[in-house]
Amino acid sequence: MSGNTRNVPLGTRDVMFCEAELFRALETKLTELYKNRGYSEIITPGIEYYDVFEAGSTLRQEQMYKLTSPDGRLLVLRADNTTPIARVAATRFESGAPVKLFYHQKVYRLSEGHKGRKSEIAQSGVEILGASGIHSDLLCMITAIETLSALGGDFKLELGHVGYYNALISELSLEPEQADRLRRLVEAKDANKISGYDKIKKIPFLFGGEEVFEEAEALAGDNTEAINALTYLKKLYGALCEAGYKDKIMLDLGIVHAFDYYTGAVFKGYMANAGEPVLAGGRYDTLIARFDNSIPATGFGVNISEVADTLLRETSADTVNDKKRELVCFDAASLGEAARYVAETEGAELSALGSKKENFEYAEKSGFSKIVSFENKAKTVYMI
Amino acid sequence: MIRLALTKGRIEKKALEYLAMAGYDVSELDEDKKGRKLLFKVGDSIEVVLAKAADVITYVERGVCDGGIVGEDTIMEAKASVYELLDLNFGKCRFALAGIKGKNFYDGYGHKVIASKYPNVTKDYFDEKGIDVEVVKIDGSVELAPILGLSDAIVDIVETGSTLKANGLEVYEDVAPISARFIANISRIKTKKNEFDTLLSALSAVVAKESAK
Repeated sequence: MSGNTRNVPLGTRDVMFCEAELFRALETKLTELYKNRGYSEIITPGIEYYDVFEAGSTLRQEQMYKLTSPDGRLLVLRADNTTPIARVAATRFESGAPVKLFYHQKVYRLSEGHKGRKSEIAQSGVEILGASGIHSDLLCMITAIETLSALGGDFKLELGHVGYYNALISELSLEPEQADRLRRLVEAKDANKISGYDKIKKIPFLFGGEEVFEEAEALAGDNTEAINALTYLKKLYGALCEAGYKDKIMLDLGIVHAFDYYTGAVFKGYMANAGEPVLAGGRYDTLIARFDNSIPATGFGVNISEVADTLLRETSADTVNDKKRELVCFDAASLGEAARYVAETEGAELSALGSKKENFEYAEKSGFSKIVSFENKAKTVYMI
Repeated sequence: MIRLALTKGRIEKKALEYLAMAGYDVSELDEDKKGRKLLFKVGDSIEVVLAKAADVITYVERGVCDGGIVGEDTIMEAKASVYELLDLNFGKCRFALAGIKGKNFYDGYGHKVIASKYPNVTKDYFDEKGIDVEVVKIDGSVELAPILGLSDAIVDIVETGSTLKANGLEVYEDVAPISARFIANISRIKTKKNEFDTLLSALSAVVAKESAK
């Protein structure tokens, strides 16, 4: 027997019982929400050509699980959801009427070991393709808010705009390497390591409530592009406040996503007890053009694995099912009667065991309230 | 309530001094009262956990602690996604490239071997320079590696340089400055913004005062 027959690869796990139930319940809730709001489901292949992710994703090559196709081409296990959907949009949709899609798909990313990070992540999300402008941004954000609220627990949605940072950084006309370094430092809110660049240094701390606008405007000075980004963000913020979500939304102008395909308003969702943002998204008007068809788009993804972990931590360990359960045992002659009884009775289930003794032991151990036995087509009930 | 992970030992002592100066009651962590406990109350608003440096980062990254205080050396080696919010300006030292005294490290075309307790820091440093090196991870006294001929140089933390000197080694060049940093979980900084604001402004005031001394 080889060494790995009894375990799973690092970063993956088996999900069972109440955890699996929670998992599916979250997906079902979101499916219902999205269908209700006129989104339709998309399912993309689990493997894609490497070239797709190379063109459309900023995940590094070493983060992707790779395999080869029979004709020797490099394939990747689905590493993110937006890139394949952008490919679909570019090749299958005419630009025209907006298309609203949702998905529940796992993504696979190689993660460094022993840090408790997952390599297999369940994501759900929506993409709104073929619409630009404030209405589609607001629609996407409202869907994000409805998503967070459907998932349960206390949440916050945080808005930003990549145009603000980009405008301030382009003032400096930096070499790409330098720009990349600054961007990583801003993303890590690590202002200590930014020397010089007095404006950029302040960006990591431009987060919080409305007061952020004032500081950000002062910092932008006469940079029209930065001011335009702020004005647009203010409109979004105002509309969401007006809609009654003032206590749910925050601002962060230092959101510089790891995915560089974002072009406009971006946002992140936080749950009170989660260790990382559970939702991330924004406008990506140029991504689909990388697949040779220019379609504006916006969308977001939810990290369902992290949400489920957080909710499970919050609920007490013993979430015992208090439903009344009946164990139905039968002899070969009474299968029909037993099966019909189970079909008609809530909480009843057929037993996989034969002997009475085994059934009684099992029923007691597993919290059944009674045993219903069919022998020679006659029914007997035993209370446990 | 905000839960902080402090790096046990020197950083812990200095961090507690700073928290005390910032007006927090740190008496539960007095040496004579502390015993074997690992979880303490500091004032009404902070809970403190004591942990090894690398674990501080793991706890904060995973969100079981909201923030923490840890050396930049550990942060650089761990490559974690946490926010680095404040340079506390104590526990200062540096990463340096060092080797046998008088040798020119960059001489020759040969393939270079570097020994270090910090393979990621070493790899990143030479990657940025565009130089291919072989990194050998050593756990104990790294100084031995060049002396025994295992490596051409070492990347290690240097404070005074006296250990290097005593073994006939010298610093070739500095790699990065190190000091204690305040780090925060990327989600908690948002969901507990008010608590963080209060703590950070109190700590920055102390840092400013101490640095001016």
